[in-house]
Amino acid sequence: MRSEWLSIISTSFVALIFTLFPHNEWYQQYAPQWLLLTVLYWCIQEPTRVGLIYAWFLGLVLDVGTVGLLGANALLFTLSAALVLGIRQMLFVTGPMQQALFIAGLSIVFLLLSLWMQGGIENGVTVLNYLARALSNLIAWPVMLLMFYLIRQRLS
Amino acid sequence: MALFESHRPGITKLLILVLLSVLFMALDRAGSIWALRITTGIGSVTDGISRLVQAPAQWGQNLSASFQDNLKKTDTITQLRQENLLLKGQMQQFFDLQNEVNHLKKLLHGQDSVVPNVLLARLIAVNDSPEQQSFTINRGINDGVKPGQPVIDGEGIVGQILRSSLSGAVVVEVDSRRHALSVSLGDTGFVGILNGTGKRNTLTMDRIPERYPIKVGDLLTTTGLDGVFPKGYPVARVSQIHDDKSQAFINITATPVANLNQVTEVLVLTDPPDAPPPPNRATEAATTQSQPLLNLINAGKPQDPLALPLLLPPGFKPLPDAATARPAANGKPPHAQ
Repeated sequence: MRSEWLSIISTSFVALIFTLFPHNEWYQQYAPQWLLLTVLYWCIQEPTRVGLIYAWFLGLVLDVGTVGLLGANALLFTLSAALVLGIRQMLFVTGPMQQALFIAGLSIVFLLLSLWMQGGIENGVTVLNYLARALSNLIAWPVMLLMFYLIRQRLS
Repeated sequence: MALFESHRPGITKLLILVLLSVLFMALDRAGSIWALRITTGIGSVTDGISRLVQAPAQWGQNLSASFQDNLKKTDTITQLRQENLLLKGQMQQFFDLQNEVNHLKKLLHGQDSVVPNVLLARLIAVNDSPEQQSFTINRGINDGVKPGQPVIDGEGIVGQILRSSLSGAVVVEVDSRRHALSVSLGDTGFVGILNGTGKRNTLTMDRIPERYPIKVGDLLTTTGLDGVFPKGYPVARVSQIHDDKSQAFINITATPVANLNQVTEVLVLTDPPDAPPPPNRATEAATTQSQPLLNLINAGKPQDPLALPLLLPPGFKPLPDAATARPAANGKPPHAQ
């Protein structure tokens, strides 16, 4: 029980560090959305502990951390978590690649909505460029599953 | 087991959280004090993390500096010493001039200008988004950094403080889409609003009457009219002039003089000298100053519409000057968020 909370909070913290990481423009544009992936992972694995409120709070922290519109990421995090929790029984039994594909699809919608809220949609190229993060989410998901599996094994 | 239990979220909880998020967005857009309090609170944590992450990089830099060639270091020190001497020499003259200006200003207005307090700050994180270009610095509330204070570098205006927390502050750059400031155009005396575009190093200024002689390379300086940036700081240079022949106006594109691509250290003006006094003090000053004296003072300033009726017949419409003064009077103050 205690170790579960420890791993949830520590992984979220590390994900936040990775999100606020170095001021490299390239990294900031194409890095996977670590915090979103972490929240969704815990929603699938530990739905009794991580739910909408946790997702909402982390979204708010991300908003402040990235100096965006306060509440924008919080809203999208809550909706993503609600969607994932709704079809959790399906996601729990599918393989990592199917999960990754679903998460990548979800993050495309997430990114489009987020770009729309920021008023950044100007031409097709910028949008496609912005959506490249979904591809890195797709690649990052299986890697993250493995890492988290190892962390949970170690902690429990 | 966990597998067979449904954990569908309750619709009430979802609705409450969604409404709360929308409320926060509205509060943030409206610039409410509550949104500012929340960002300051959570910002203290996130800025702390940025600082924590940036610290090893700083140690690395210090380490590499300590391994640097000794000869090179002595060279740099000598060079810096000479530069320092030069600057000190120029400053002596500056202080002399400052005294003289203060003396003259006392004779005119009864107040003297103050040299601004500057605070050296180091960049710890960059947070660019389509909406605005901003970066985080390692000075916060405890150092006296407040939202709205101007930020400069060695060349000119960089931006202004957007929010400040216990462990850092966020600076929004002048080329952000939501940033605007009041500038005067070179020697022409035209005063207008310089807008950020959201593109790197690009600023625009629209609808300048055609009769102003503008050249590429003209310097735009702050006017102090916006109440945020003190008067006389360089902001940008004109890089392109778009002359639309069908209209009597010119639009220009300008490039900031500050080096926005490689910001590492900036100066925060913690006590902007030209910032207007609080409203009640301003009205006091206006009422205590006698009208003839005010007219005498304003007579020297041709762009001030107050002074014109005294010098010209009542039926005369001071068109050109009114046109120059209007953008400044109607201009919205520079804001971000």
